[in-house]
Amino acid sequence: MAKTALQFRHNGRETATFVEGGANLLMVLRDQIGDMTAKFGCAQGGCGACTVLIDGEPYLACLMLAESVEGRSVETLDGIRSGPNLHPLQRAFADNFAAQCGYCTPGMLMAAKALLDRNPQPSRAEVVEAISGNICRCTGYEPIINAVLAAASGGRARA
Amino acid sequence: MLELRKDLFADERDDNLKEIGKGTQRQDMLGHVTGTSPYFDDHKLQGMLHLKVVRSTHSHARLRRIDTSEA
Repeated sequence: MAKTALQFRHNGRETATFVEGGANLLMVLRDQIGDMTAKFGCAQGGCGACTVLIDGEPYLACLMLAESVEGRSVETLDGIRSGPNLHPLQRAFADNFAAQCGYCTPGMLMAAKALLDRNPQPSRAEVVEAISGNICRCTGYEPIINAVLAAASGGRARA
Repeated sequence: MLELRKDLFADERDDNLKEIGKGTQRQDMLGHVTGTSPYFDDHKLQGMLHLKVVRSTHSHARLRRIDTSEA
């Protein structure tokens, strides 16, 4: 199948590759760019494990045609922290036991980051809404919601 | 960190223990929150083979040959 040249910003770095027609963004990130932080879950838009930010908005990479991110900015969990320092959300997830098996965590973190970037002080209901597209089979969601609220308030979890 | 209920069994608790009764971070947590914990699909090996299950379209038939040309 014919390959198309594709250029986009991947975690702030200009990236160029060739993609198969119809390839989805998740496969391009994982198989061609080697960024394994976006997870392959259901491949049909149901689980949210592949959530990435495109120009700051959360998208499901498994349903995103790779070619449609031409010239746009794609952010994955790999680009969320600055150097050795964890992003406040990552710190809060660790401190609040918001990850058990960890498979949903990258998608949860990206969905939560999109929320906090546009709404730094969300209500509990707004957090629930923001991660409503992300399925977690381990934690029962409460620790995750607490972690996002903790990150928003700059430290400790609110009861 | 989660608050531990210090009032429970307070008279039995030895506060000088190093691990018991203390909140601790799971050793795999850092990998989980940075997306670097390796899962099944994250392994890409040199010369890795891929497998696909192709099921018969006939419910009761004799298998005479397998056409692998497309594979």
